Amino acid sequence: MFMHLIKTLWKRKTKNLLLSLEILLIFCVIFTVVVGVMYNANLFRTPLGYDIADRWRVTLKAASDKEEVADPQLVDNYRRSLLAMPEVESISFVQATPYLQFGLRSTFTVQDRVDRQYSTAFLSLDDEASKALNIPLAEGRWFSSADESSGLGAAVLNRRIADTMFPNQNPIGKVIAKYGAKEGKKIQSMYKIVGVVEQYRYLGDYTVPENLILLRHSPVLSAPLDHIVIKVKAGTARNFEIKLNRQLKMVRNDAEPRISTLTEERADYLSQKMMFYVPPVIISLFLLVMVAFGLFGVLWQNTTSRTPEIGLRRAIGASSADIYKQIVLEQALLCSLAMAVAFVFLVQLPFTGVAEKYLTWGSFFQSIGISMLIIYTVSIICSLYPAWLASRLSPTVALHYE
Amino acid sequence: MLKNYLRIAMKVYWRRKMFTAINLSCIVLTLTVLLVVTAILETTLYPSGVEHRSDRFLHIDYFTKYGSNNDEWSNGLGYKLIDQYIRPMKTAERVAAVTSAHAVAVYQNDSVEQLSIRYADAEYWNILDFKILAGRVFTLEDVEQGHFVVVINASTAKKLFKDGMALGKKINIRSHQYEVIGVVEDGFHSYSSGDLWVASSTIPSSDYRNQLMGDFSVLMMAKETSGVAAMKKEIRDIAKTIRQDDPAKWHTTKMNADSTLDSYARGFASDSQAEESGASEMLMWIAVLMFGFMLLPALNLVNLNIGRMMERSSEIGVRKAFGASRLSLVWQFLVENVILSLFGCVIALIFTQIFLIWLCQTNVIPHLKVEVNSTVLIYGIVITIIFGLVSGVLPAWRMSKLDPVFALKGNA
Repeated sequence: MFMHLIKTLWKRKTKNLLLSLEILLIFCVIFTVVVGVMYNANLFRTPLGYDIADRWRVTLKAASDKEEVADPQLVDNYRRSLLAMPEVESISFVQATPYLQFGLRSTFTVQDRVDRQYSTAFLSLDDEASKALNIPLAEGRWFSSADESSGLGAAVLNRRIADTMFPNQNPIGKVIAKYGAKEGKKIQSMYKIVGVVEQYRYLGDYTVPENLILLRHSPVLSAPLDHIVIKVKAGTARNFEIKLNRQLKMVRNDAEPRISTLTEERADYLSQKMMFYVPPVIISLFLLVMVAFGLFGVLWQNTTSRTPEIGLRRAIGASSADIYKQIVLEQALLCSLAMAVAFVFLVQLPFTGVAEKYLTWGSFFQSIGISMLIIYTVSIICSLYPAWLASRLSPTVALHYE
Repeated sequence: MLKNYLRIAMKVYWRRKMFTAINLSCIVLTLTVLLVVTAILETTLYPSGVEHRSDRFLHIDYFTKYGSNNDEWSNGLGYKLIDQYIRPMKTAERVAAVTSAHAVAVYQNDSVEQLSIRYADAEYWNILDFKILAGRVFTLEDVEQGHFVVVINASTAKKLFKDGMALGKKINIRSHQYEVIGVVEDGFHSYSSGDLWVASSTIPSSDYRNQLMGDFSVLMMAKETSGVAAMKKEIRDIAKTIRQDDPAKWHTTKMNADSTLDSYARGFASDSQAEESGASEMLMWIAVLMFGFMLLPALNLVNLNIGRMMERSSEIGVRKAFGASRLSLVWQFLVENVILSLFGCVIALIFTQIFLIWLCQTNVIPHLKVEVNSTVLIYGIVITIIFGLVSGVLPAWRMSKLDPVFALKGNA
């Protein structure tokens, strides 16, 4: 049976070559989409490391290249005035709230090991951030006023950088350093590690987990006044904004606070991402539908042009179920051959590691499996009706064909 | 002869309606995707509507300053930079300064509307061509006197005032009372998007007048299309004369005046301040990608066509027996295929229009207005003919190779 199938495929090789080339191409397209969807779905499922429900963001000033330190008194006034509102549960001053396109990177080293440098993103937050954003700690503790007197800064590392800097060691209590330049002179800032978080993906749901160091900013020395995160009581109405705005204006009239909720910011972020993700998926679905149409048409035509052959087989004793099976199996075999060739090309991806970021061996085989399932399903569905037509051919009619 | 081909084509397509339908649906699917992409690209890269003069104006969104140690800083333009350096330029007929659209919350009674606001000068209204639906836009006098007047767009008027009667009403923006003096149509392009427009002189603090860095973009319009190149050159020369606030730290400044197409192309360029924006490369890549997208559907049609032509082998045998040359057979099949594609194109255009209307209504991109216009139509026909030829040439060639003896017997 199998050899027979191979023979009939080989007999029509030019036609089948074109057909299998088409299947090969659509397989590659579907594979790419499956890899992309799986990669992003995986990121989407990864915990963010903070909560956004009932959190509001207030932006007090736009980003600038000048390092300005606000008056600690002013920061304190904002804090008091906001906490005085009955809806507000806690507030935190942060360099950047979640869902802001904000990225600072620098090189950190372990104390006394200047040769080992680690490039990482960093961000500064205050003592209340853990409470206001509900950042769970994996080890150690969050920043507190106890860090004020130590003479060093305080840092919380995410798991990734902690494991890179201190493999098989407890990072708590270790000291790291950041090098920077100010007015032409090299300066070094030292930070003591007080805690570790699993992750804090502040850029949003689709950000790739990467090295991140959270630094403490002291309310006394380096009071920041960029963004405030406000945790309000559950069920606070949206028009709390009016009240909040009035309260902020009372502290400082010339400021231009921009207010939004993190839930809204997330919805914005997701819809922006979707604008990039949805069109490729739709376009490849279009391609798949089109290939399905094409396969259906070609198989149908094949049944007509192979009438004499099928008639002969019926005449020498093949049952209609045999014919049905033959057509469907031929199609499945053709698909398998095309996908085997595609596999040889695609396997180069994890092998050479060009797409390392998106593709591990595990996810490669998973994506190949899903794509194969899709292609088999579509092509077998397309062959059902032509196969049924062929199986119904009466041998007498078929043999008289011409 | 062509008329004969057409008649044969019609007959053939009519005979096997089911296959024609399958063929046609493949063509329609492909062309619809390509046409939608073309229409969106066309309206993004060559804006029509409010920004229809975009072939005459250029814009600068940011400049880059370079310091020692390879320090680089890119930032939006400050008002001082525009006023002092760009306004006096000779090659531009008009120069306008406008900020990007900021989010702003408008508090009215007990409701909050999230809107976007732009601070602009009077020339802004002369470069962009908004349809004024009611009232007027602010003038040079309003800007100089610092009048607290606001122009709003149609959908904002509907949102803020339930009866839509906006003229003369007051709205509170950033704790100032602004009077609505005009309602204009909605815009969605880079510079015409926004819900509220107020005079730049009403920015709360006057610091912005002394800043080289800021949040402004500048639009400059030449008298006619041919003057655009001269403006580009003058801007590069002007950039050399800019003296930064801290000349010891920042020794060089560069900026480029771009058309809409240029600024998109610049997004892909490695050096954001290169003299050439790379627009032609980008267009070439778009063409290559679209052609690449066409290949799979074309292959699909090749498969379908080969099958269909085998069924016509007796017709071909007769034609050959009576002395038709290979070339004339190839020609006949190509004509047939292109005709079917063009028919598919008509249906695809209808689908495209329906899709675009739906897309505009979903408001994924606020105030988006995109439709099948004459340019898209022409591109569509070109794409269709290319598609018809690519998908027809191989089956036609194979068919014309048929031996007439076999062909007449009908078993190819």
